[in-house]
Amino acid sequence: MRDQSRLWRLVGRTGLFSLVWMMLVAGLLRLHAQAPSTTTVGKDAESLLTKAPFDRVFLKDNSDLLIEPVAPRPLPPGLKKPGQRPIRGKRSPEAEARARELENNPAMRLLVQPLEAEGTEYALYREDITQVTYFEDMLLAEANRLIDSRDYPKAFEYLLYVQAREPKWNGLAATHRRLLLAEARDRFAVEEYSSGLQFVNEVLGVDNKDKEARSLAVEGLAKLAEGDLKNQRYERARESHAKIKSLDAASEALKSLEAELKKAAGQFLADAPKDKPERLDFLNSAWRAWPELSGLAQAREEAMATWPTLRVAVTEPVDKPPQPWQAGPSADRMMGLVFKPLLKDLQESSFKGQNNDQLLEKFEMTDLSTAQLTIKADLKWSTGRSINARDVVAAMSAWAQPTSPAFHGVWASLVDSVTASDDRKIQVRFTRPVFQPESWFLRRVAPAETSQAEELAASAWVGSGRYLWQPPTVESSGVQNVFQRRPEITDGLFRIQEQVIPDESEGWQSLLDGRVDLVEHVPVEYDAVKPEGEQIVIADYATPEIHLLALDGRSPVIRNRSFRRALGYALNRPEILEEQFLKRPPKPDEIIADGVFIKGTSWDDNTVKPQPYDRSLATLLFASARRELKQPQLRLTLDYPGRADVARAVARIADDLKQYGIEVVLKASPPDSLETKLVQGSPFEIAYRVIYPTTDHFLIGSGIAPGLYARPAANGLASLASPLTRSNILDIERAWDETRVRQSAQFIDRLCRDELPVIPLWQIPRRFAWRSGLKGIKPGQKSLYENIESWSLTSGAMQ
Amino acid sequence: MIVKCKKAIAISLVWLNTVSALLAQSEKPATVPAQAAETEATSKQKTNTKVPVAPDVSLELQPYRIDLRFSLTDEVAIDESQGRRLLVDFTSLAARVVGKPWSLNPDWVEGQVWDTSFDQWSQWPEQVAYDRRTVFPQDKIWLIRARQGADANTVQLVGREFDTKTGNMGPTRTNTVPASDLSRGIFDLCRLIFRPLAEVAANEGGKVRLRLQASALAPATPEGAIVSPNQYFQLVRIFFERSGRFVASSTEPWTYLKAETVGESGVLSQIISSFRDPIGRKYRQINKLYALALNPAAEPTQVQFSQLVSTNGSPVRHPIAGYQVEMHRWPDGPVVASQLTDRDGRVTLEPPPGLDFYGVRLLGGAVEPLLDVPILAGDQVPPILADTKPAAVEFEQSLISFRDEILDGIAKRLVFEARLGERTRAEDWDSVTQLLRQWQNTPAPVIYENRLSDIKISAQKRQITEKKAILTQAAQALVAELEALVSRYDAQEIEIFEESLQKRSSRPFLEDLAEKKAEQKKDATAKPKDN
Repeated sequence: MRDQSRLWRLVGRTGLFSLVWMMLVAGLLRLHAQAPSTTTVGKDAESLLTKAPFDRVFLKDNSDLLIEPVAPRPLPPGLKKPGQRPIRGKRSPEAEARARELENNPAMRLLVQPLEAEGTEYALYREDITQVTYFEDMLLAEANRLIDSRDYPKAFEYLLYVQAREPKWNGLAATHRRLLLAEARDRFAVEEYSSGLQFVNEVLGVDNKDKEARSLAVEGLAKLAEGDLKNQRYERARESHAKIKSLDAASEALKSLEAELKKAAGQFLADAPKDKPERLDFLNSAWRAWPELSGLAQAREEAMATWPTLRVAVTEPVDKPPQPWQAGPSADRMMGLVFKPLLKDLQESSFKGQNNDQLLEKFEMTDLSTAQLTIKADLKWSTGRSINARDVVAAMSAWAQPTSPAFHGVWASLVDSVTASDDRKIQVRFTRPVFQPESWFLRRVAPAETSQAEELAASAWVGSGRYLWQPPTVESSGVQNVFQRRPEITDGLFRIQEQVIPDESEGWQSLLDGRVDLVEHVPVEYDAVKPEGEQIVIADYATPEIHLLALDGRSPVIRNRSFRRALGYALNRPEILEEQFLKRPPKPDEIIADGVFIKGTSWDDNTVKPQPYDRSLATLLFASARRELKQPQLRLTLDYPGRADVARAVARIADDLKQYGIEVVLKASPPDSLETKLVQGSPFEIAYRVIYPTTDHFLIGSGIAPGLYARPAANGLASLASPLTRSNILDIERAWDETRVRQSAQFIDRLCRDELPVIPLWQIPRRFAWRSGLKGIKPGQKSLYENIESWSLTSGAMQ
Repeated sequence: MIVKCKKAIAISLVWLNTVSALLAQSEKPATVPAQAAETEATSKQKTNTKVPVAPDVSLELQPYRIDLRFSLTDEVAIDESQGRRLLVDFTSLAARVVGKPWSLNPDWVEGQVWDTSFDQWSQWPEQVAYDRRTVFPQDKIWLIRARQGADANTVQLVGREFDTKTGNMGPTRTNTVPASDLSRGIFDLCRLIFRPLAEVAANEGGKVRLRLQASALAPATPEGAIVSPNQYFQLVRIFFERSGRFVASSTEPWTYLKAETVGESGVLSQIISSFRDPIGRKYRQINKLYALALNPAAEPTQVQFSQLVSTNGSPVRHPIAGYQVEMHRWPDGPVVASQLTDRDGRVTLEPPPGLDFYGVRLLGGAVEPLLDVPILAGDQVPPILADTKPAAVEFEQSLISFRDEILDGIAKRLVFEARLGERTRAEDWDSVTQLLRQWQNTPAPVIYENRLSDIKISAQKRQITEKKAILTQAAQALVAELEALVSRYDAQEIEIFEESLQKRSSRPFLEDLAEKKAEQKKDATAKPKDN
């Protein structure tokens, strides 16, 4: 400031302004010779985003110079007589003050700081300036050039830059609109109508009356609907129809689309067979195309009453014939539909065979190590063959055969002999007295001929349950798992159509839209939101799910105690849960897990607290692990089930571990195949697992090490990284009373904290949801289709 | 630590010995295969029909009278005449190489008792009940069975030896040979299964002198020598009644002899054992100690560990499942391999390459050695009864968790110290104040000291009341380590930072730092001089 005032004092006193001016201009020109050219676009413009902002002034003598950005921006318009210079000669003090005031007005005189002038300020009269090009204008010019050359992402970066500097800059909104429409047109040209329409919608969001955008939207929607009609995606075609109607009710595209939809619905109605369950499928398709079609609603309601079909949104196809030994979420869900268990539950009524949905007529322990089973007389496999003792003996032998996929390590060490005394009676002798042996008979059995089949052809599949599995079909709406009621059964739901929707959010949306009646799993980011209306019921399953990182002790890195402890400290679980997994603050029942047992149950030791997050300790322990392992670089693979919420969490975990110098390779797999692989003892390093803790003490280790009960060849025992935890789990298998089981379980819970054979993450409730038209389903179910025989659909369920 | 561990397991092994001796007393072995039992009468008759001949020459001059019983499976295409010719060839070969020490009586025994899978036997199928003065017509019975090899041109020979004097079955050995050279294959297998017998003559200052049968009979060739230096022996103890009737024989567990010198005065051998004095152990019953030679082999050894668990007041055998078994260089060399016991407590140990001998250590938890025994490569060992010391292992686990906690505390304090150093150097007194507060919030050393003391006292009390080993050597080592860690934790000081903060100057800290560096330098220069 002092230099500036001194300069003006000098100019004022000596009247040598012209001289100074000449010098100034000469100096500026010299500087200008080193500055970038005036047309700072094209290849040089690439650097505009990285350069310090500057403006450009053009002077009377056709020269220009680059200056630090002027202020205010934009400059106020010049005075009526811009650049009127002070009158020379003696002036009165008042005149002098007025002149000074006038000269301080930026409309008359501008202080500029040329680039590379080392911070020196110069003054310019506005009359000597012919034009000022602002930095923002240069950015917009470059953005326009990029739009013309179809480099939209780069152009968008320029617009973002302008918005960050001056959000209300003249021309910014117009350029943005131009960019959106241009990009939309380009997307339409390559038949990406959905994404193109998103750009148009953005324009319409700013100005709903933008004619060009409206017309473009109609064009895009019509094209999108055309493709949807071809692919039989009628719901989306109808959505497009509704949108076109709101944009231009008189458009030709609308009329044409409506005619097509009606035609398709009419065709389905006409083609629907009269007396086959497929009639409902045809009518549903017609409903999806044009529900207002005359007579359709009544026909559909009648068909639904005759062949009640439950539509369920699930995330995975059941593409392999179900086998009782399979593991994973879809196996847990649907195994009860297709196979009956030996005993349905551990109630006395089931032991006496009073439960219809089981194979045994009688179960009794004749002594401490001998069980006597009697099969019901009238049971048949889906092929019509009677279910007999041979099937049960074969299945139980398969559980003990090291070559069988149904092998279970505990059973193999426990059972001495399984013999059939006649067609219905089986004697199971154990090698020792067994605590709660009846829990083994909650398992399901396959027919003798397929009890040890690793791979099974779809045509060879045989079931014993209420429903028959059918190979998945690819419909217009995606892959469908279909379970159809056995012909001899006449009551209850006729069919279960599982619509495979891998994206859980879309599955949830399909429930809201009424495309399905039931959704297997409510995505965590939505289950806190109560949907509008009373038509949707959200309920918890009986047991919550525990998310954890399973560690494979067969890997030398995982066996290292320092590494496991570092891993325990390295993850900020509360933050990952809230920010990545839930994407909302957790509710009181969504807690950080301290082990693999459900909080508050008898197996949980309530003195155990979750492992805290400690970055410094984690850093030190990782360094220690590297030294101990003599591996400067640690690289591990993290397998995870392909769920959106889990994917978000593992991405964050991998990022966090990267900060400690641990490279984590993420590997997504379908949840079923991953779980089956882990349970069968396949090696891994770290695996993200979602477990539903059991109360069966024979399976107590399954949450800690998935391969613990796998075939001996898999060396699954070694997968448990902590020797003491392993020996205690194996001791529990021989426990004889509940007190001992509980004490050992609590000790194992403490060991899980101290020895870290597993990294617990969080415990959250599992939720499912259904439309209120589905009757008989209850909150607190153990599995999705529990008691499905008592379910029914009312007309209200149909949408 | 290992010596003490050995002491601790000695009780278990004595129990094991007693149990196996009692089992052997039973009239009929429990493990007799069904088919063997059927043919028992025939075999017994055969044994008893032979007239015993009392030796009137010394042991060193007695050749080994050996019955070779050769059989084959249906897949091997050799008829009886071919088989007999084969045995003649074999006898001729043995006479050319070994000569006098072997007195062979080969026999073609197709369809007889050894037609069963004798490699599954743990005891001789015929009843062993004879007077010690009775001399059997044979010293050894070699059972050899020919099976189909991997292809049509090879034959797999499986064999094992029964020693009549000790009633002891040798380990099974296999040899795959070309079908065209079967007699040589049989001979090689016989060399593998042959276990020369010796009487224990004397214990000479920790070394054992053996009187070896047939050692005075010169072999036909040097390669045919019965025993050479570095030959291993197993000790077999035979128990008699006062009347002289044989009661039982048992192999001395985890004890081997290794021949150092072989001469006219006998074989002088070194003792390799888990026990201090396996030779001089006292028994109520009359007994005699023999040594049977044993050759190391590349065959895996299956070991089964079990423990006695009290169920409803009575001890029940439980397998020791899921425990870590380490194989290491005997006696206290590095670990060469480790495995886990399965649900039945079994583990199959492949002999480590290049080791005739290895130690097998059973670990409880991560550190507690429950058992450490030597095993000769390829030996067959009986089930092992061990004490898993659950209380001691649980105690050690709590000590390890506590160690982690103290280590974390030390690490935290070190981090604070480093940050305090930086902040004091920068004279950022606000941060120094905050860091000092954080430091003061870390547990005081006395908390750790008291906890450690409590842990020790409770372990001692429990040890007295439960009469179980809890403060084992491994546990005591851990306690000592923890005490050192607690004192290390206690040694960390922050007074210099407090002084710097008080004076609002980094000078005290920097001066202290300079002093420490000087001291370190002094120490570093002093050390080479001391050396």
